[in-house]
Amino acid sequence: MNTLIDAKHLSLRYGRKAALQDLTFTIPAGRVVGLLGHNGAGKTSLMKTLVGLKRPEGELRVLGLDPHTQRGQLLTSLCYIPDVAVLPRWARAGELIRLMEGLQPRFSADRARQLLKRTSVTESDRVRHLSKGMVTQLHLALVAAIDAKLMILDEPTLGLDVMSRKSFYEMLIDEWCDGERSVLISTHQVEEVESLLSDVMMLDEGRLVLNISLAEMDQRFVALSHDPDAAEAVAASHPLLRYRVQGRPAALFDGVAPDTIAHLGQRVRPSLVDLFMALTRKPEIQASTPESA
Amino acid sequence: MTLFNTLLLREWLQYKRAWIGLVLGPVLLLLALVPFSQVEGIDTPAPEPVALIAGLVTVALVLVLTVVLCGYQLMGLARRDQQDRSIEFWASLPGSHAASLGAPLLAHGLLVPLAATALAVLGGALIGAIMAFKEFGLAALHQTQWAVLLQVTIWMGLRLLVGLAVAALWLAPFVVALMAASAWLKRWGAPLLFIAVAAFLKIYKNEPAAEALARLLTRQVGGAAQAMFLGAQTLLLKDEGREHVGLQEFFDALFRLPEVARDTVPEVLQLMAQPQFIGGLVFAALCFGLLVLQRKRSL
Repeated sequence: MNTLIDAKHLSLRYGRKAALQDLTFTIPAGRVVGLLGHNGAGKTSLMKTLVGLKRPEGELRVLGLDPHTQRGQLLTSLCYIPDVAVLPRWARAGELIRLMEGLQPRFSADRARQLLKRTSVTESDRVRHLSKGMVTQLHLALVAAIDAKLMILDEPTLGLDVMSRKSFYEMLIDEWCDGERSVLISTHQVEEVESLLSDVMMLDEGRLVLNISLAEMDQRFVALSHDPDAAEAVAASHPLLRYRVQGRPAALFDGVAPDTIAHLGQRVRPSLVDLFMALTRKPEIQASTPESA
Repeated sequence: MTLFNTLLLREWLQYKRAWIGLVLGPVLLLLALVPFSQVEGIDTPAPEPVALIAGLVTVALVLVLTVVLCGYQLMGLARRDQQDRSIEFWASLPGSHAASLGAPLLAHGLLVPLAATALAVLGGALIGAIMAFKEFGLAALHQTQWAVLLQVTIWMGLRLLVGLAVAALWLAPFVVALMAASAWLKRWGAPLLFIAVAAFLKIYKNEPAAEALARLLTRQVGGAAQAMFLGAQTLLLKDEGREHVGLQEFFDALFRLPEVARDTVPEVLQLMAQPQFIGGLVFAALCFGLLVLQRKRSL
């Protein structure tokens, strides 16, 4: 199975409020996908929908299964970290390994113990006595010991210091990603995950405003770093975003910069953060219609 | 089944200290009190009554504490995982919401009281023997009818376990309804439900609906009481204005106890064939459905 997630016209409402609006996307095997969006953009709702905790409208298949009606079966082949603070505080790490062994058929206790040794957490440590970073490491060690095809991480490093965040992502990439498995990570720390990602999805007010591989992103979006004198001419070309790169003004375009201004500056690679800012300020730009911008 | 057993294991891991303390605490306390204790009300110097009474006190103490603790914990179970946010962790693993709620309900509502009672019977036997030794010395212990006491202990234990299990089922509608109220209305749910029912019965005292509800509740509680105490009245020693019970009377009751226990077990089980009992279980199942629904909604 090459396509792990196949969503067509996915929508979710909380009463009158639309959390997800007509999302259509696929996630193939072997990808590390970043799910970006502001608070309230619909990231958590999408993730909960993908793991069967919310029932959406539209068509959704995850690992070939309907997440809502086949949730139990789906969760045997999928790992999900909903938040950093959800491990039961009364439990010891070793007890969690015992419990996971009985609850998750694809879980390997030996593998979990092996992964735990990479962290500063011991089996006798109680969750309530661990720092946030250690809890996250423990949680990742537990879920990474599941022989699953897909991992879904909902802001897993929220509230962690930079060292803990780095260790988390190192462990994720080194110990879990093998080229066949896919990961979907939602995060606000866009800069830190950029180097890990193969693809990016951006949500804005429940709409998917971008769904693209990073390789395509480099080809499609162009930034022009220019002198302050050229600012007016650049602004007249209607860039997606005007910002600063290393103290110099810059403008971000969907597609190559118009010929009239291309000579006014130097082409630079736009960062994911800049693109995120540009697209979530302009939600009318749709992922499937790059030409329309 | 592995999954459900693991959910039961989770309860054990989370509550083992409280549960061990629940049994060991009273037994150790009573053991410590043995040197200062004295059995009154029996006028003949025989070790059997002393052993039996000390054992019964132990079992009764553990049983009361277990019922109180488990009842208290059951009220909190409905929102336990939401309160410590671990619900998202459990929901990220295979397993249904029904299993996640059913396992703790089974553990706290049935398995723990049964296990605590079984262990209390053993602890009671030990305390009874030590108490008899303290009162009459080693020589008297040689003359004790241990075979009879053993038989009585086994049958009394079995009768208690069956009675407790059936009583738990009779009381299940109350327990699960209070849990559902806790789940939906948070900490005030159980008291509110209790007050609402009491107020309804009081305000509409002579109305048919209130009378029917009162009858229903009384029968349900009566079923639980019968499950526990059916046959006990035949063992009661006649007082007849005396201060002390005679040894012969005591031994008569003692010898009758296994037979009464043997005879009342099928009767207790037969009580479950009533429509009232089945209706109660259906009501409990509906309340359990409300618990599952609330757990789903909280995610």
